Amino acid sequence: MDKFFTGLGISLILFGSLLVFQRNNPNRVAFAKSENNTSVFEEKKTKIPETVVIPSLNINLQIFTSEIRDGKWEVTENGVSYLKSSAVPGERGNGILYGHNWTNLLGNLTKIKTGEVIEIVFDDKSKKEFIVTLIQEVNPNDVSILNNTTDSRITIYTCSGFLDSKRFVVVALLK
Amino acid sequence: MFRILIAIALLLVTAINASPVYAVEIPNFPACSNPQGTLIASYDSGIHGVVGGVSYAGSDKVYKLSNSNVVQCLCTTDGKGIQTNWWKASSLDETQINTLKSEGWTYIPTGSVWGLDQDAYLAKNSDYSCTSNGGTGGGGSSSSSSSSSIGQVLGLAFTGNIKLIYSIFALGIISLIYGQILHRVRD
Repeated sequence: MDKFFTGLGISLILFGSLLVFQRNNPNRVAFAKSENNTSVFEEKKTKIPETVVIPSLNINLQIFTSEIRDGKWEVTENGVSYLKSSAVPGERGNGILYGHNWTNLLGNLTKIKTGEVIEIVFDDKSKKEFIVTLIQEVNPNDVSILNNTTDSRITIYTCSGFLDSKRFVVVALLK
Repeated sequence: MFRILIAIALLLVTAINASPVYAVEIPNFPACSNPQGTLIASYDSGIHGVVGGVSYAGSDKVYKLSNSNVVQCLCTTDGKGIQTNWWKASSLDETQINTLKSEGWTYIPTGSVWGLDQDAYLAKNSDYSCTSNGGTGGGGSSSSSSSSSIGQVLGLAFTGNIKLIYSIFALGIISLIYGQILHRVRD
């Protein structure tokens, strides 16, 4: 019995170490191009946003569509999630993007400054540029950042703060 | 062996949290894009000062969040939004004030100069977009809709896993300790 608990303890610590590595590793361990849900863009008759680029932070991440199922947000571990019920980036409205705060994903987002550029690259290699106009840290229950707007903007957020208890939110308007 | 494992585990647990841990818990200041609290001052135009010595022409609104916290939302005529978070310093000691100053807060000895209570305040500016919403009521050419296209959502996505990591390490350490105790009891 003692060997079981010792083995379990070592296994859990090793697994925890793997998660720490995944969280802090600057290089993406797995970047498999998974199936993206393109039907939502076909329905909206728009180009498909493929990558989000923040040159000042050296961020270049693939975009995956996601949705909220039974109140739970789908979150990809391979890039940035795009909430498909929000506006398509570049179109009128508020396009919602979010991702893990791991070093190889949006971990450096907290270093962004107003005036910096965020680019959304589409499947036809065209791109739209957005200028960061608002940076704020909110509580997880502050869903007002999801509100639709009459302008063209994107809202990108990730976890921040002690024990990931806050959400770091960046709002960028279409250039 | 056991002590080495414990030491490694503790080292990992203390090293994993990359987020800064502040000695002072900063209260939540709602963004001016979504103002909250009680409106205690409102100017649709005029020249308004901002902490740091710069003045701007535009609209200015001040919201009282609590007895200690006030938010100033300034929207300049050219569409630049400046939010100033005001925090009464009376509840803080000198060390905490120095910590906050190192985080970019400015110490204001007397708030009455700024139309606030006579107490000392800490203030910090940040930018926000006032051209795209009705938050400040000034300078905007378009407005934010209060309706959400997302539907009923109770919270934002959980995009961190630090609590999971801590839990796994804690369980691992407990299992190790329990295993060692059983081992010694058996011997």
